[in-house]
Amino acid sequence: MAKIYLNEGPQTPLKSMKPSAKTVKSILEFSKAFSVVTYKDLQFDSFQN
Amino acid sequence: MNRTSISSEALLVKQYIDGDEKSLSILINRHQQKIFSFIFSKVYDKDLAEDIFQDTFIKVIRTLKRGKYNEEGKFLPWVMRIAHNLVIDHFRKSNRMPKFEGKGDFEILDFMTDGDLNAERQIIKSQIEADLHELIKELPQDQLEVLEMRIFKEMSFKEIAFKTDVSINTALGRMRYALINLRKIIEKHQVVLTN
Repeated sequence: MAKIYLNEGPQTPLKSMKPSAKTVKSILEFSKAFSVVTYKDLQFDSFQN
Repeated sequence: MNRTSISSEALLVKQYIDGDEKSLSILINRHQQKIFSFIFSKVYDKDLAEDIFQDTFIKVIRTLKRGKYNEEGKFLPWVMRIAHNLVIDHFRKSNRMPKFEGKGDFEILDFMTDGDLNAERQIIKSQIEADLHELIKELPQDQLEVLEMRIFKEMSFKEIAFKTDVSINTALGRMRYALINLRKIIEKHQVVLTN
């Protein structure tokens, strides 16, 4: 008879899980491209290509 | 976290705000495991956890660069709160409630210091109570009355029955329907009452 409930859980132990290098790279690239420009009392988001 | 690592953390945050991009890389490298594991422990989906991790840091970056960060020395608890809120947002959007059972290794409150913990818990508790007070107003009067006496005034069912001039069974029945209806109201408003 087929098992109805099968929960093997994650392959890697939870505590040692990390985001992929690609995700971290995209965060760092976003950070480099993102800046905030302040004009008088106003703040503007700015992205560099 | 000891005082040295807290001050080095604050220094890294300051250096990043001052334009040193490498500091962010160090901070991510230092905490990525805890943050990612926390997110994954809630959503159990690697791709989704990657998205929420990325959104968390995008929020961190925006806040830091806008000069709106004011939790010096408490970087990780702050980031964990952002991640926690984004996880809740995800479940709200997907119309599915998270399973915050409080049994796992990764609880948002584990990453906060005692001071944060008490203050945070107090705020969440007051918010839950305020939400609850609003929600129960939608209950029929007889159910609302029983629920208020039981939950907020901590009266026994015997006392409630005496006060409302009904039998204990009726008071119990009203409480039961009050809870059933409250669940429906919570689902209708998509409110997350979790601590």
